[in-house]
Amino acid sequence: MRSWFASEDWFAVWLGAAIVLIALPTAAGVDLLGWMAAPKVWLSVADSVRPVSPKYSGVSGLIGLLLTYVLLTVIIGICANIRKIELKRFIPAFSAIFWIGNLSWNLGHYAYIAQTPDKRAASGITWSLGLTGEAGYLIALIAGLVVGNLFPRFAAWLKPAARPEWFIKTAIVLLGAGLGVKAGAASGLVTSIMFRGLAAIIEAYLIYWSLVYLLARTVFKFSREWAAPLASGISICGVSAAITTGAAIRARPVVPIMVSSLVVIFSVVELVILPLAAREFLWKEPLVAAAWMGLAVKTDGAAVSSGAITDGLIRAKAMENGINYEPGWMLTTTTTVKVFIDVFIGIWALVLSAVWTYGIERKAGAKIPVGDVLKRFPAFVFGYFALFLTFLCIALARPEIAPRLAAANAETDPLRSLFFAMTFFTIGMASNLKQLWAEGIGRLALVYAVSLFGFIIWIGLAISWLFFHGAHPPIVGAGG
Amino acid sequence: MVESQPPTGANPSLAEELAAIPYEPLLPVEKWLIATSLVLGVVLLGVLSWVNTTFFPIAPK
Repeated sequence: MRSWFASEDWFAVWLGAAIVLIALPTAAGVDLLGWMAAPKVWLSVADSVRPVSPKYSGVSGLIGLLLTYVLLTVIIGICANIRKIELKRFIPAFSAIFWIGNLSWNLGHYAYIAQTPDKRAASGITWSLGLTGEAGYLIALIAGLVVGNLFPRFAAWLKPAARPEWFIKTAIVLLGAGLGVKAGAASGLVTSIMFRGLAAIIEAYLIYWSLVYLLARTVFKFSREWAAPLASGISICGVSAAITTGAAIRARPVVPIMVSSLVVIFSVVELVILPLAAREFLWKEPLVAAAWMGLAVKTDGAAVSSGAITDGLIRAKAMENGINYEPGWMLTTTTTVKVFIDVFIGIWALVLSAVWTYGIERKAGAKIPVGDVLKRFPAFVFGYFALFLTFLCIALARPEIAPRLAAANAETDPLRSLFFAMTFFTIGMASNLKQLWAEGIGRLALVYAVSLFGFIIWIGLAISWLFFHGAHPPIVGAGG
Repeated sequence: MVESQPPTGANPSLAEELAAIPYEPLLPVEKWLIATSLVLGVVLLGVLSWVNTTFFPIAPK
């Protein structure tokens, strides 16, 4: 139990909660984080970062950035120290990841890349890619791919701090607080998103898993030990599902590890392609696009990150057509879907372990490895829901302070975005593309590609459409 | 789910591992698992879809 509380998941909860607690006094007028550096769309480097709160407009962007680095390094360093990670190697590596992530994030805000069409004139430019600042995530991903595949020694040096799952889970915990505040103001939409998200993942999981398992067992002739982690890994939840399923059916560790390696590579491909496809074909159905990211893109990091990019891309496209969606709702939808998936994989792993124990292996006296499955329960989900419910209750009980809570929560946005940028960079770094050429990988890659492109993304799209079509984020300036 | 690092690095025994996979015919319990999962998925699709439109209607834009 003690090791469970010391897991990466719980440290995402502690880290996220600590950041929210530091930001919270803002709601009472004591602004402790307003100096934090937030990127702005820029033409001159000097204008690229500004303090997040106007109260600190006298603080230069560079000072804000340095203070942000110090704050985050201290908090994350304390967590790393408690987790007995060697700080001598962790801190320099984390510092490099912080600055590369930050640089990528800021580069993405360059006006010719980020500026949306409605604001080009105000920026004094005549054209731009209109990708919004979320383009910075793609730059971070590319930087990570370059480092991981072309500079292996540098990548190895960064490895002690390259923890995409820790970064993204912390960002998800932070999102929980934001969703609570939003729910206070738009409880109908949030309830709707929550129910639809839950319904969508139940559907997707039951249908995906059985189809991939059937394909792997009958067409590709994989054994049960391979087919079950493959089905879980390919169908929805990626690395974590493959590992949990492996534990549930007592597969050898080599099986989920090999499946996971492939999951990471394919998730990068999805992360690049699907948000762009959503921008072109689903911009009129933003929440369908967001749910689709949650149902189709594997691993927590890549899925939630794809939701962030989709949020930026679709809002930009909608703006070109005169619709200004409130930011964050697509990201919220993807995250909600993903969080429910993480809960559901625990349930599904228990079902599989019961089938394996009593139906397949039939060993006398064998028991379901409930402990192994529970140990892998996504603890960060507790943090997400705890912050969500806390902020929702406060916002409903004291509606007059809801705007101040929103302001306090907004001060955590720069850190959340930074965690995203660092997630993208470290996901790219972990994607060893050379592995695609490893001897024997073809059969695994083929079952993955056939399942993913043959039916998973299409069934995911259909389910997303069924549950989310017609649902739209609030429109800014529409009078509530 | 609890996971730290996506595993990296090619395993040199991958080809041998895959080549050594034994043939295992589909057992009745596996067929039951696949069929139950699919049927449940399709049935719930209808049920949840109805609950969705009945109890959680989408507010007009």
